[in-house]
Amino acid sequence: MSPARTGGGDHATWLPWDPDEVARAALACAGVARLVATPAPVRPHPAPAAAAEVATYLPGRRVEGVRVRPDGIAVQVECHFGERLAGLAERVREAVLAAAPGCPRVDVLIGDLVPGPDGSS
Amino acid sequence: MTTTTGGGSAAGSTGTRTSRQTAGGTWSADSATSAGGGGTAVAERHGATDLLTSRGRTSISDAVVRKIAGVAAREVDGVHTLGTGGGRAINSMKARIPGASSSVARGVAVEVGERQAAVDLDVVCDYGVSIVDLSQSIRGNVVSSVEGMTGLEVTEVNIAVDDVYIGEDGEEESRRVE
Repeated sequence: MSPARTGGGDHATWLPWDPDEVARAALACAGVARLVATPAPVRPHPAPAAAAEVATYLPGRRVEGVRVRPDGIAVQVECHFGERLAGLAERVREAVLAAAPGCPRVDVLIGDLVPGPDGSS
Repeated sequence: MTTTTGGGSAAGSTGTRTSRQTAGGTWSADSATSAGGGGTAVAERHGATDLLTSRGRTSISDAVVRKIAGVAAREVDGVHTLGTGGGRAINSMKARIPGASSSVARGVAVEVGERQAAVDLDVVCDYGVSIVDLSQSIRGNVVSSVEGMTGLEVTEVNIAVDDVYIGEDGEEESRRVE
């Protein structure tokens, strides 16, 4: 609706950690397929009662799968099949903490499993 | 700063208003209700006092702040529109009248003093969004936009989530096209 960004609406001023940095760090982890706002829908038509999205809402766009709150960060990922998930989650947590220094808490939500990059499933 | 959810339209947002803490004491409360320490004291920011100079005063009207706050709130992803149900209906009619005033400021109420401003918003959010996170982003974007563009210090942004937009509603869909 608005033609351009409003002047001064820079999300760095109100978010303690940059959601784009967090998204980049989480995606770079081995075993992470993608970040998702909502878990893959199991499709009987009216959509199942969904939990709130994990997303960061920014002017003109959203960062899916990353929720930044003052008390911590949550990331929701889809993982490749075939690995112990606790280890993977720990790896994601480490990466997010490196991208968000000083963050007291990182919740990793594993939304779904997808076939691995090598096609194993 | 508060976020209220639910149908209470005018009462929560614009009707009664608690007294607001003002650093300069430049404007007063407009209702009898008073809450101790209503607003979080905001640290003095650069720009907040640039409006009052020794060589004159810059005053900014309500309409300016309403429009800036309205655009800033709308541009946040997850905000479907602004305004209460009644206001949206009236506005959809007004939108058909050529030359009628813009609807950017719909759903926005402000109080503007010489140095500070407070904003009340009626928001309709998209289904599925986390209202906690959305209101944090709306507040952040409104504060940084208003402060960046006007130099006023925003003491509070009260967000009333008035409705949730659920797709397949033909009537809502037609309203969206304005």
